[in-house]
Amino acid sequence: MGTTKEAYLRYKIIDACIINKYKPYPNMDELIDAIENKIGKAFSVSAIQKDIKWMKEDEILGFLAPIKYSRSRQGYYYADPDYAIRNIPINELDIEALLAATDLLSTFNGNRVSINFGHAVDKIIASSKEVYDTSLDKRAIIQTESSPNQRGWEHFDILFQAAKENDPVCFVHYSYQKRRFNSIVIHPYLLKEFQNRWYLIGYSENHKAVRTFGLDRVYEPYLLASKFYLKPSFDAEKHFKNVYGVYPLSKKEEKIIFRITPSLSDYLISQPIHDSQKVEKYHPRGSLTLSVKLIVSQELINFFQMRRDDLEVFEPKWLVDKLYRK
Amino acid sequence: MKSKKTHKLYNLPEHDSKKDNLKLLRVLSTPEYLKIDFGYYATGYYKRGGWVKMDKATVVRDTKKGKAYKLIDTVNIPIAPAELDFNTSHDWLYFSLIFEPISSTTKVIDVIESDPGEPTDFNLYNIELSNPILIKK
Repeated sequence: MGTTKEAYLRYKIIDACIINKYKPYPNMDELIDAIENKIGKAFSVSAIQKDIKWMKEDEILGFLAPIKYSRSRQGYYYADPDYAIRNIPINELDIEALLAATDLLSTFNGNRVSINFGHAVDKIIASSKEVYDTSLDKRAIIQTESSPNQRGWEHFDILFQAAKENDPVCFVHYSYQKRRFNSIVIHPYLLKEFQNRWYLIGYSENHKAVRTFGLDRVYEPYLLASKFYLKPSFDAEKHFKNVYGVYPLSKKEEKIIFRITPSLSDYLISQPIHDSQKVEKYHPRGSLTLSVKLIVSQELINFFQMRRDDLEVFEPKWLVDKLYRK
Repeated sequence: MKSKKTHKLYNLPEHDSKKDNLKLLRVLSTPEYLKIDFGYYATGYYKRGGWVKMDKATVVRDTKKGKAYKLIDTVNIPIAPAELDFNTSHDWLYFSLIFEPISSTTKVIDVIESDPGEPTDFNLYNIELSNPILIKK
């Protein structure tokens, strides 16, 4: 059992002792006895005093337990008689679901979001169950594409907070394509993942427009104390509804027609590139002509270019020229 | 959340510089230090992009009063004689210089690595500290 989980178990035992109507006002020796009996190892007075202090004061832990010491009764009690930390009813299925969610989230490189989530889950379960066994099969059964050490991921928390709290942000940005540094002031609206990369979308004061920035190109974001601007016409869902990827090259939706080989057809039928994908024609030997209605994006162009041997675009003409010009 | 009213950010401040491959990005002025962020582009002058280093005698100077503020630390760039060698002429570097805190009345500063200096020195003049943005805690 990890230290954190064990700490939650101690908090829960302390809580149970204090709210025990049949033996109110437990003293320090009684608390230590109860904890040692449950956990099966020795604890010092100072360790339990520290636990009580954390339960009372730690804002991240969140109990803010109104624990007082009664000199007359020589024991601990809650100033609020209705207070208890273990008043969250959850069952075994809930616990399984929470632990599965923790595992899933932890595949995101053990970042602070998942650490905080795991911490919250520990707290919920420990405050409800006597003991839960975390030493069960730890074999990884979910693996995502998230690559370790991906640059910029360390800024996820601050940018998430900025978008949530409506705080403008200033960060340094390096454009790979333009090979240029810039210092951007952005009013962040949305964090979006596409093909295992994260992007921040918001109103850029520099560009006077909504722009997308890859987190891997972001350096040292500062939260600003200036007024937040929410562009009235911005709707995240609409903004990306007809875009494959994050960098649209225009605002105009177009019908794109392309033919794919039989070897690619099974993949694109089972996993369409967009909701608008339609089969325009079945060819006798298994190849297909497909269409999608999309705003052409850099990512769509990359998608077509990477599949040149199995895919040929016929319309629109400008896209054909761009893809196949010598 | 309160703002750090004493932490002032000057974004892309106007200034004079003759170096095309050095971009002044931000100046952060706090009661404890002055931090200046730069972007640097390696050039094709050297086959593998050359190198960068910062002279420890680099100062920020109040352009009008002449008072100098010492360099106290750097981030991502070594202090000479150590140097950072680039691998290619396509390389780039984001780095920061940290100086003693400047007077709150200072409105224009210079960054002087060497005076009068060579073309390769990091000298920037007349950096205007106007229109500050306040940083949140």
